[in-house]
Amino acid sequence: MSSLWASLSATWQDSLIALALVLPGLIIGALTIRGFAPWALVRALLWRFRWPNVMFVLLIAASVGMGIGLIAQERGLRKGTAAAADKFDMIVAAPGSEMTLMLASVYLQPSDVPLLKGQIYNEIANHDRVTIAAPLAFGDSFGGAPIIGTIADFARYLSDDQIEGRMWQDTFEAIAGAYVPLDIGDSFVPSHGFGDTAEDDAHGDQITVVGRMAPTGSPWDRAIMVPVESVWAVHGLANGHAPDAPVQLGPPYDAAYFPGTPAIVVKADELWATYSLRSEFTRDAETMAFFPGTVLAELYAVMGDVRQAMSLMTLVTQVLVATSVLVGMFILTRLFRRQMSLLRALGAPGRFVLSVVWSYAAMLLVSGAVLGLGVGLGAAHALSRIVTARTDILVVPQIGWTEVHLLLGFLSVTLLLSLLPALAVLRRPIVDGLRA
Amino acid sequence: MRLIPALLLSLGLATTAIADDTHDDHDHDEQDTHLAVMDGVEVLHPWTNAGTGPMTLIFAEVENTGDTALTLLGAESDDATSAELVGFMLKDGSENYQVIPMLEIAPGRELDLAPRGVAIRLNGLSTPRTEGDEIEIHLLTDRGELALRVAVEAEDAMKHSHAGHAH
Repeated sequence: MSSLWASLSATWQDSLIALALVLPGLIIGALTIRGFAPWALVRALLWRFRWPNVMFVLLIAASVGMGIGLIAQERGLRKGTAAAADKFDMIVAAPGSEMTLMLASVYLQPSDVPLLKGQIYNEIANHDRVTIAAPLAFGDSFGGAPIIGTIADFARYLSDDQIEGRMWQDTFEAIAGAYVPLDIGDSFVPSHGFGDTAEDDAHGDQITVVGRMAPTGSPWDRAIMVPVESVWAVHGLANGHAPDAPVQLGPPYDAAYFPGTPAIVVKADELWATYSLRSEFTRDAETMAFFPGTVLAELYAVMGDVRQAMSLMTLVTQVLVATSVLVGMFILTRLFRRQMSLLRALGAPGRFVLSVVWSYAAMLLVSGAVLGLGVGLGAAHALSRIVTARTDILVVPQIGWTEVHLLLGFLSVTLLLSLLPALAVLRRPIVDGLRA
Repeated sequence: MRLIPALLLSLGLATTAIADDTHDDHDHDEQDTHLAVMDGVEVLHPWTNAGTGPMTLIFAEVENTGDTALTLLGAESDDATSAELVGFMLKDGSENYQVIPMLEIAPGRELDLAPRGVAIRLNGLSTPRTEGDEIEIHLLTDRGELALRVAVEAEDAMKHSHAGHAH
């Protein structure tokens, strides 16, 4: 049985779980209203007590939406951070913290790290399996936007070759990220460093924006890319090429005139080759090769405990809501106690009264749950906009199977519990109800 | 005991697993599960997680001790309907393993088959794996097959229980 289950696709498994969760509610509903047509009375009850009903639906929607919103937001954040690292198959750096290097290279968080020498760069760049070996150079900024030195091939690869304007052809030309507040043709003088400590007067070279990248959904959208030679030049370093060599930007570099790079982004021609390259460029006390995807996955695994705690909190919230719904149902049924007693006095079968009360409860629960789905998605979108604005990582929340399962499980349990207030109506003496 | 691999290799027994030389307190059978050697290839600590599902991932430290590049081509096991090399990928924020056709290891280099990296995936397993069990597989390389006795570690293990020991 377990092997059959494992052989099913994830979509089939999720669909079957969803069906298993909703089936108890559907069966209860079918058994309760079978042979009766309670909807005319239910509509009348919904209209007669519309304001308490609206409040009840809103309460359910708020609680369901909160749980769904949190889970959808967490998943959106996970997908967004992973998508931002998609183009960074492998990074080679000096031995140290993979996390620090990943934050610096992928998410452009400033950090002081040792530099790799030209020999290492050339060995990687000249490897048969390597299609892109992009040195990165950090350290400067303009108006809060980090300036990253690299090579033209990487800028094209990062933007899927979607560059408005043209690629740089001179040391002091730049490609702006999609959301950098600079237009093509604008010039600027880079500041040394980042944030409050940036020194505006440290450099005198003026850089002109000649192109703009399409949005990538990553912090690189707010970065300015320049030839790596530019960063070296403004810091008074050699430009990677011998003084007597013809003027050029990008590789090949002369190891003797290569000032160093904190990280090299490597793309191989095949996935399997990336793993082989990692083995080749992981060397004791010399280089460290790592996959940002693996580092992120390990981070997610640690954060998974937090996610489980969140899911548990959501579950507890749903249980509390289910209890509140049950209590609320008992209270609501007291509102139309007299009407139900009148029905019974007129000879309506007990099962018909049961089906009316249960259907009424089901309408409130389903309405609240569906509205809650919308509230959850809306809340997740609002939170995502805030996170995207603050981190530049594009977070797009979507409703996934987890939320669907949560919703259907909640509905099934509450539909089952709704039988209790319906049964309580039947247990009350008819005469007392008529006098109420 | 380093003499053993040399003698076996000289006799042309290229796919024979041998015992390691530093675990004096281990018996021979246990050592076989730690290190397997053939012509220019050393595979240390092959292991997998305990579990009941039809699929499992096998990890190990593979070292190319030869003078030329070594290519891993896949694996075979009598316990599984198929075996393949897989590489870890983060897709839409979720963990995935994608089939890869081969892996090259440069001369003198080591490749770690590890969780969230590369691994050998066994499919169609019909029996549960319990901690302490062993699975037999054959690692396929361009230099021939190497028999491995894979140790079954705890369900949540992230490395071989003897990882870090010298062999």
